[in-house]
Amino acid sequence: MSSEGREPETDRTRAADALSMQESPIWDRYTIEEIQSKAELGRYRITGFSLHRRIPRLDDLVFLPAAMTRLPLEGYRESCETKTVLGARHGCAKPLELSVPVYITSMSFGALSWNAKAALGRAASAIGTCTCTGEGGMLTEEREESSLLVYQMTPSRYMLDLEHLRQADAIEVAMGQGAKPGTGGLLPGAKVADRVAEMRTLPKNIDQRSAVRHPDFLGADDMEVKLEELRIATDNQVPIFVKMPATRVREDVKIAAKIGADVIVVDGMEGATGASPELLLDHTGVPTIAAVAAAREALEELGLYGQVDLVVSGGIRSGADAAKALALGADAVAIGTAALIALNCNAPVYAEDYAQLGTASGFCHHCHTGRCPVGVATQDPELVERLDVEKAAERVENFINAMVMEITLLAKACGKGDVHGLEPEDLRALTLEAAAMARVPLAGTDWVPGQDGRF
Amino acid sequence: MSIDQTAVNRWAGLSDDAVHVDADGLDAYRLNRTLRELAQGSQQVAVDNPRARHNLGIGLEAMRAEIHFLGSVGYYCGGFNAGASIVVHGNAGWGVGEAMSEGRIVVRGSTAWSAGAGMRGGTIVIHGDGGPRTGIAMKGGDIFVVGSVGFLSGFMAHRGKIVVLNGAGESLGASMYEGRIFVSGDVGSLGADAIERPLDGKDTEELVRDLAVVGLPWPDGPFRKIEAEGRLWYFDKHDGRIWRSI
Repeated sequence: MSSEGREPETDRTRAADALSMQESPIWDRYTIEEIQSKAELGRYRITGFSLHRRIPRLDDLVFLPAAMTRLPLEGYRESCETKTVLGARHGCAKPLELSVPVYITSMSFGALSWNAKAALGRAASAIGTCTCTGEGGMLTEEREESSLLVYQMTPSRYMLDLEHLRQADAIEVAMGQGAKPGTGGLLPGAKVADRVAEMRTLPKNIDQRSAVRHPDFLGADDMEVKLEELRIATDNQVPIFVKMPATRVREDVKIAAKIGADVIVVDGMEGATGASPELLLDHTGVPTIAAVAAAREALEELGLYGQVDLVVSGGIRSGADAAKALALGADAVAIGTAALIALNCNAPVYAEDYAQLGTASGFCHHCHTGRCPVGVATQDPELVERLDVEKAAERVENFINAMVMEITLLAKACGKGDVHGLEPEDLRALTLEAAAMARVPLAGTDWVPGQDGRF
Repeated sequence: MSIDQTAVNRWAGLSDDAVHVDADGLDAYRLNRTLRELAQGSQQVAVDNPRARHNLGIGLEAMRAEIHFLGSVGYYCGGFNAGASIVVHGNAGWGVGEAMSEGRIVVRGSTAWSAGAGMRGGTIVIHGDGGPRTGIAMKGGDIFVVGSVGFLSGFMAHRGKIVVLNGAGESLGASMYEGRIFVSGDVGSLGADAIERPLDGKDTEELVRDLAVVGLPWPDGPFRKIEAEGRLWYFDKHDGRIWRSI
């Protein structure tokens, strides 16, 4: 003992001090918080947005623009076609003719506010592309604002009848979503406000867990009859989409193509949601980068690639992501979260309201609370007011235009006069995982792990 | 072989001036178009040879004539019905009258799975048995079943009413919202969150009126009223045990 009564500092106590603040890789602070939160709630946690972990992504791919072996197009002087036609396979009267290979994916009225839906519709119309209802039924404002509206038929069949079916420019039969495959929608009670409850025929303010299985078909044979029914009900005027979460992509895409889908939408695990049991976001489905390649291969094996149109969604954030998805085999990409962020999601305004949710702009994923500070993911009239439809629509329009410029920039650098000319050969992978999943060679090699039995 | 249409009309209870159309040789689109055309000028249009084909009479709107299918029909007969009156002189496959918003469908025989799935309005009357999942996800309208209904009938019914005169299978009325089931006869079991509540005077009045309208007899035994208790409607932490158990 020293004169002050303290133990002299030794190597051992110094090490102990350091360890005392070292986080366990197994029991890190997030794990501890999660366990204690479950201990309090007595159930799994529910959250909005996307996954919380790193996975192989489109970011792990790079383009090989033209140099000696290929001829680039003049970026600012020569044109590059972006027109995209979806759903012509079965000769419907009005396939979707989009001016760009990007559209706004299914997000329900309920998860989103009426102003958000209207703004997305207005932006899509200004661009010349489509938007999609999502599962909450067809919102009047959205139908009015959207020149091309895909009407989603989900297992819950909210508001589904002939009147609304005939107002659709395409029908999307939803078999799940990338964020939470194998489960139905989830809409916490705070968002089941008057209008949402009425459109979904639900008691007000209940925590709604939508159905996951369709009520009147189970297997592929039933579904084939169902797709024909939809064609008859709409007198074969509009295309039929089938949307699926990216799980057993190869098998599921083949089934959808064989039973008559005009367009197949594959939604990767990066796909986001307004509310989900947290674990589903992180632990279910396969990444978008793997889903595109598998979907393309499935269609090629059936000899239907180019006939059945392929749309890819799930974590598409930029023109680079979109161009890579096109190169891997998609005919179009659908954006969700990116469009919401362009609307104003996570914008650095209303700081106190983010703080009240225990978060800040840039970090917010509290869509499930219904307290969205920027009026995007809420049904509270005061919050919804904060989203100016005109201005928000303009931001989304600008964003999609920017995305398309990025896509054409990359396409022209790769020597393509049409964005649909992008091909897997234009890509190389930066990681082994990406090379294996996307079936493109690892950069600097001609090696695709697993291809031709080469491991 | 030519068919004696007068005899067929008598058997089906149709008037002598019912217009007949042969489903053979017409695809579902052309059959629909033909039905709409013929329905302008007649009270009754009879479809010969439905041969249990799928997707017959899809997306019909209110029309002057009543449509009679003279035989059994396949999946989704009368799907997306928006006002037409349809009679099936036989059995019906899956999803008869699914997504119906208005109108009337009478099935003289039995129905397979998911009759009236997701329907928002109108009336379905089944003279035989209703299969499993009768009235699943329904949002409105009424279903009357003279026989019994199979398992999971009324599953996730949001609104609307199912009246069954002769019993139900397992898991009746599971996970409903504001759907109501009135059942007479034996019930295999009640589904998750389904609860039996006593009929009040208004319920009885309603049933007496309904059965008189659709021309069905009052059953021998009493009716039980099945509704949702509402324990699955909220993410209350105490509900964790209920959720885990189902």
